[in-house]
Amino acid sequence: MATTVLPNRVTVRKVARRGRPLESYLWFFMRLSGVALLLLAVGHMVMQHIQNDVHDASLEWVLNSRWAFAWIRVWDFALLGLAFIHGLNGLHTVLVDYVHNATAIKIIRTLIVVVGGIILIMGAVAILGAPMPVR
Amino acid sequence: MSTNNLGLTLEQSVKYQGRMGQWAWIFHRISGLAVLLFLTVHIVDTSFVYFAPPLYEEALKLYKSVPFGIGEVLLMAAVLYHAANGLRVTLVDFFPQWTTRQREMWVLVWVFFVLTFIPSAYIMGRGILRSIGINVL
Repeated sequence: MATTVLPNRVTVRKVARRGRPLESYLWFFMRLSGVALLLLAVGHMVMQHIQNDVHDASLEWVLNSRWAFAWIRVWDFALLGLAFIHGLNGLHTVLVDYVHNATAIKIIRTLIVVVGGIILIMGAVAILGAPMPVR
Repeated sequence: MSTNNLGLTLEQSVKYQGRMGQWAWIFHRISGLAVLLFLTVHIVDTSFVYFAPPLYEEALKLYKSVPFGIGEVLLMAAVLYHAANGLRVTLVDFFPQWTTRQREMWVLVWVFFVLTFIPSAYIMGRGILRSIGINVL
C-alpha cells in the first residue's frame, strides 16, 4: 500500500491484488451456459414437442428410440448439468435479492447445494445407468 | 410503506416505471423460475426410468393430461422468451457499444418469440386436441 508521488502531478497508489470473487465466475458461467442452452434446451423442446409428441411417449420409447443413441445421452447429460446449475444459480440470485438475513441466506445456499445436488445425481445416474436395448 | 422485502420490492416495482428494461427483467425472472420448477420435476420423473420404471409410466400419464399439456405450451413460451432475452442480455454484456440499440434488440426478442412460439403452440395444441379425440389440420 505504498503511495508514490511521481513528478508532474501523477499519483499512483498500489493496492494489493485480490482474487476474482466466486460471483464473477458465476456471472460468466450464466452467459456461457446460457449460450449453450440456446442449442441444448431449445433443441430438446423442438425434439420432444415439435418433432415428436409427448402423447406418443412411453418407457420403451425413451429406452429404444432415445437413450439407445449415445449422442442423445451425451446431449441429455450436458443439458441436465448446464440447465439445472444455471437454474439453481438463477434461483439463488433471485432469493438473495429479497432475503437479507445472513443466517437465512446461509440456509438457502445449503439447501440449494444439498437438494440440488441430490436431484442432479439422481438425473445423472439415470442417464448413465439406464440399460441399452438388447439387439 | 411495506415492512418486508418482498412487499417493498413489489411496491417499488410498480412505482419504478423502468419501462422496457424493467419488463424484460421481470419476465426473465418469472420465466426462469417457471422453467426451473418444471425442470426439477422433470429430472425427478425422468430418473424413474432407471430407479422405478412402473412409476415412470404413471408420470407419463400425468404428462399426457390436458392441464399438463397446457402447462407444456406455457413452458415452451417461457423457454423461448428466456432464451431470446438471455441472448440479448449476453450480447449487451459482451458488446457494450450495442447498449445504444436496446430498443431494436427488445423488438427483435419479441419478433423471435412470436415467430417461434406461434407455430410451436399450434403444433402442441393440435397434439392436445388429438389426445381428446378432436382432429384438426
